[in-house]
Amino acid sequence: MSDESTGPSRAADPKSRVRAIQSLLIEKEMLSTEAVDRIISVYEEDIGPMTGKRVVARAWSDPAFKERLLDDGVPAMAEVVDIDDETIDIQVVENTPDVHNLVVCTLCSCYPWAVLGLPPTWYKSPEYRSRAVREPREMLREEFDCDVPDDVGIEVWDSNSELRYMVLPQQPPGTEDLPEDELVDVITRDSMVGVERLGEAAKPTP
Amino acid sequence: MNGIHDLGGMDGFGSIEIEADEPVFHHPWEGWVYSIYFAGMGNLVFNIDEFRHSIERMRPDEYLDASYYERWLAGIEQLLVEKGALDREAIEAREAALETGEVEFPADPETDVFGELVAGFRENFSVERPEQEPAFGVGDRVRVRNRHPEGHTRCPRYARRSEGVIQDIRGTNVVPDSHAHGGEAADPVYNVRFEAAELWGTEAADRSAVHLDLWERYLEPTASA
Repeated sequence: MSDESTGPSRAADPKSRVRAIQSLLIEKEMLSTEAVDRIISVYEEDIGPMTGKRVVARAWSDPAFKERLLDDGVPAMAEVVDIDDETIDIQVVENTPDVHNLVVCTLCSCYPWAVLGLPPTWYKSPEYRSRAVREPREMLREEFDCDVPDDVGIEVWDSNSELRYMVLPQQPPGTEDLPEDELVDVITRDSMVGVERLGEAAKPTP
Repeated sequence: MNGIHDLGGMDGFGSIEIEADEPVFHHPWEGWVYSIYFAGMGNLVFNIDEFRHSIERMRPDEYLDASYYERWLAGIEQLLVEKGALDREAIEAREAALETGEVEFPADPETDVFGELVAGFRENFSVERPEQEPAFGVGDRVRVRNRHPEGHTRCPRYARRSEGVIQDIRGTNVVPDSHAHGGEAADPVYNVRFEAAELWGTEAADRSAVHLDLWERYLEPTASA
């Protein structure tokens, strides 16, 4: 068992341990079973990549919106989606023919959860966190089957402050005439983290 | 601290395991861990920097062995105990009593704590502080100081002693190195871009760069500036 001198320690049985802590916090009115259910349902049902997809679809469809979005992410997002623009700060970084952007948090697991939901397990893994900053091009090719041509620069955003990053992927050719509600189906969570390129942009230049 | 959490640039972890269509929480208890994080933050028992630092204080071997939410649970329990919100013996006793059925899981309090927790969480998560005059400007070349604080820091090891160029000024934020230990020091924060070759050596000829948001005290002017 741990104490203050040895620091935090892994529980033998996390399920029964967290149940005990919840039970004591509820008795102290620091938590309630209803709050537990609501917190879980917010992350399971309400917050997810659809928010980010709607923002990207609007940016592809409306150049003036895209400009506002790149200038100050969250106030622009609030025009399209329900987002807490008091607490959250997100910088949107734009992929271009010359630049591919990739998001990581090497120190913990910072992620633009307000627009993408809670991060997938791989994003939080030592495997991804260690390698994304050191050899992003090889990692994307070998682990994500995502080819970034050698003449395209890669900008890696290590999310070490409370400012979070989201990638604005390039719009695949041939989708220009689609309405926003169909464009959202073209956009993926992974493309907004930068581990996937959409449509033609994914193919290496001949 | 130079902890195991500071993973950027390490080798040897191997292939990244990617699970298609994974659920938000893999087990109900992972969502419960999220709820006690929300309780700790929402009741202002601890702040985000104390929380991160608590996880960083796990033994490196345990940190790597534990799953993500096991690390969270360890970090949260430690802070609830250290801050005096809960007693370690009481947690252990309750865990045993719930297992044997000696104690029932409590009924809800009358009050609606969810709204209070959300309000507390928002207050607690706010890192902006009164604006300070930045010492550096966009386009300045800066060097990351070779600091190795014993406590918390958000300056990763791989960037120390490297030179980069300031891209943007992010405003004035509370300094994690201070905030994780009860302090309120604040600094201007800069986005700094580092070329791959500067960070990883000249054999890293790849056309890539890494951006970090760095507090002013992490930086110094370059010798040539």
